[in-house]
Amino acid sequence: MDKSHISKAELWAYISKTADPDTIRKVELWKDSSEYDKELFSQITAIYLNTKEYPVSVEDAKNRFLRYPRNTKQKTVSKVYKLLKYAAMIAIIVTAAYTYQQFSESTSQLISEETSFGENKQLKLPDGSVVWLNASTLLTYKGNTPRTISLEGEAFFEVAKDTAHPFTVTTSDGLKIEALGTSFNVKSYSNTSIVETKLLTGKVAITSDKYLKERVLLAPDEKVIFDRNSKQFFKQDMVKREGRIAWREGKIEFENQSFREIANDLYVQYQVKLVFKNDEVANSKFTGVFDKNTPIREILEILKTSKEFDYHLITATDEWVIK
Amino acid sequence: MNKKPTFSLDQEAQFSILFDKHYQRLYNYAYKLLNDIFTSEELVQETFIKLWEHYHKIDKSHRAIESFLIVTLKNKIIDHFRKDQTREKHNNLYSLYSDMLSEINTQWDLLQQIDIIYENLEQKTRDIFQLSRNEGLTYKEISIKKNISIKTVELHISTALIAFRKGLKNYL
Repeated sequence: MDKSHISKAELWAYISKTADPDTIRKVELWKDSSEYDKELFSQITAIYLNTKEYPVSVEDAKNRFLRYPRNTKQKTVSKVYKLLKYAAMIAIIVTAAYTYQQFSESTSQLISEETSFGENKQLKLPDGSVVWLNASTLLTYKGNTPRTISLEGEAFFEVAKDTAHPFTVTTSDGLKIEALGTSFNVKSYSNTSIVETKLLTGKVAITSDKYLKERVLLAPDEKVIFDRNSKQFFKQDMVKREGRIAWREGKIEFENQSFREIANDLYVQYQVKLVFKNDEVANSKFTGVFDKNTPIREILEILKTSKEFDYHLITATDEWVIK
Repeated sequence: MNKKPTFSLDQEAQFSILFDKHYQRLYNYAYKLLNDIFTSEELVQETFIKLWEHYHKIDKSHRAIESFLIVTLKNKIIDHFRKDQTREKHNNLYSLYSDMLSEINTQWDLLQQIDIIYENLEQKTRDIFQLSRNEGLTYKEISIKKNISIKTVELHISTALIAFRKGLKNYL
């Protein structure tokens, strides 16, 4: 073996860790000899390092990209899917809904009203009832039955009196909230595990073909929570301040709520997702009131003062990782 | 109402192609500078998102798109270092990032130069070199795979290395 001469190919094999034992021995001897060309060795090492490809799944990245909600165009599409999923109904764009409304009194045309992230909207139904929609909410009804509402999201109802026609709100689980001359709030976002009905005035009955043998009656200042996981109903008195329905005043309110529940309120308001990497933090409870225009970062900072956690933002997905 | 989704599907198809064309390179670049899988993937994603948002108003030529992508990614990397720097300041760990700025530019030039060298190699030489570099095959394994002698493999490797040494002499 010629110890004094090393070919580039041998050196490359050595540096790229593909050399056989003979070549390794040869190169190592050469490195200790006077023939050692330090510059050549470092150049080939640099070529090795710089031509490195870092394995990454382009397909995964692509899918993640295509799933990412982008502009209003995209949103319209996803809302349509939501609608289809919701009740296999005909999709109507919101702007068109107003036009339809005028002609639909005597038709079974489907009317939908929706709000996007962080948006609130007040509307008057053809029967005179007034509805406030909280953020990320979709409300639908047929033109000829404006007192039979389907709801996805959260809304506050002030129902016009009409004893001959019951006013009902149906959630995606088939929960039916029936009212006669009443003001009440229904919270039923599909990405949370509960449906909550709060009654302020009047009388409300909750029925469900699937989950209830007899109806649950609500008196003013009571609320009923339906747990989607256990399929159970819980009736509670409202805490005094709950009756205010904070979101109608442009406020986000947490009353002894877990961080996980708060995360959903923040999602519908800010379109930001909170991802929890720490269950203890996710389950800790907070109480507080914020203006809706408080930046999310500030809210997190304030929450941080009562419970230690770390957070950082992944801008591409708008996800805040909470640790 | 039907028109818009159809248009966006088209754009999605176009982006699928753009991902295949550019993602790996941009990721390599980001990873070299950041040395962090998570952040590198995030920043490249954001870069494509920005391209998506500006897609309607930019020239669709390969060059224009590539330069949009790289300028965006460079800025995102700079922003990232800046943010890091602010964080470190808070911890009283002051660090300079001006070296980083030149590093950001040099790295991209270097990667482009590597692409040019690859393109100028003969197909066979390039294949053999990449089997060694990317697949980690030994010369013997390559010789069996390509049905050539080990000496010929070594010759191709050596040819590639000469081209790299010459082409990258300003960087090595």
